[in-house]
Amino acid sequence: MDVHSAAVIGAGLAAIGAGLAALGVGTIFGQYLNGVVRNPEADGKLFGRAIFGFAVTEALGLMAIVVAFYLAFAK
Amino acid sequence: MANPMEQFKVETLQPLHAAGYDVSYTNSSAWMVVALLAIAIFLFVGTARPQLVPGRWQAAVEYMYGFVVKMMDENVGPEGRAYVPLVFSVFIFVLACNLLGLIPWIGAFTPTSHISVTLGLAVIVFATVCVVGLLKHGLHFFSLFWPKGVGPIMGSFVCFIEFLSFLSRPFTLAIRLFANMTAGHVVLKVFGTFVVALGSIGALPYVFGVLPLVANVALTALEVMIAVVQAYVFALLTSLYLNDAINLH
Repeated sequence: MDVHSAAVIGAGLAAIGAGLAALGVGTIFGQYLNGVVRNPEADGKLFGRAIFGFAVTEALGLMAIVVAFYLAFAK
Repeated sequence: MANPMEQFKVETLQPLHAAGYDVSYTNSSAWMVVALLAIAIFLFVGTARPQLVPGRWQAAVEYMYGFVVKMMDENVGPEGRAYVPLVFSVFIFVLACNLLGLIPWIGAFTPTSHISVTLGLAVIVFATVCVVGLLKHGLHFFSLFWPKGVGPIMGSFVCFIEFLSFLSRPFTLAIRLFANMTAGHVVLKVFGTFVVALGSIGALPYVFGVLPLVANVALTALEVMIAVVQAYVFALLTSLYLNDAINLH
């Protein structure tokens, strides 16, 4: 296998990380909705925290995407 | 088939050199100027003839400004009012760049899909946080890294991790925005090539091209939401970092 093929396969493997981040983001918004359904008045406070958790979790998945981009396109 | 990464190419419009550096006027610079003009028009028209009962345009400006002020009040407290101009500028600039880049006209370009732009913004935020923290608390600022109620061994370990996470803040801030914008635009263009590929089936031309076109419309709506959410996230994290510097914890 030459280096380029290995890099493309590696890019595909790195993209798995984005799918794993999806689990985290889904959990965060699921729990956020759970909290809002239980206590609708806390919506304002919870929304900012949910978005913060989403941003921090998503950043980790995006690291994987950046690695994938790097492997696929940086030559 | 066109490469979906082609849209991120920075093209030099007017070559310029200063002190040995290439500071050419590029399409990225041009789109940042367009974003600034759009912001200027939005804010000037909205505040030109202020009325007690605001019209639609004035209400839009007041809503955006009030949104940032409320976020700073909630996250930083009364001392955060001094930094509202910074956070508002960053928020509205990122928002304008994200949204203008989504309009599919010829030569469309999103400055925030380049890490040089987002890292520049993130370094402004990071430097402000460091300077504000050091000016306000002096060397006491470094107690930010020390967890409360922890023994010396565990404390020094956590302190090290906190310090590393503090140093990685500008990079995560920059990479989050850049990767979101890049990934979103790549997906839109990949679906755009699907429209051509499926629509050019010889036996039934145009029919199957409708499917990815519909998906592309839905994805554009999603991208508009992501553009707004990422601008909000950038401003929110800026306010949280400023809170660390102003109030320690």
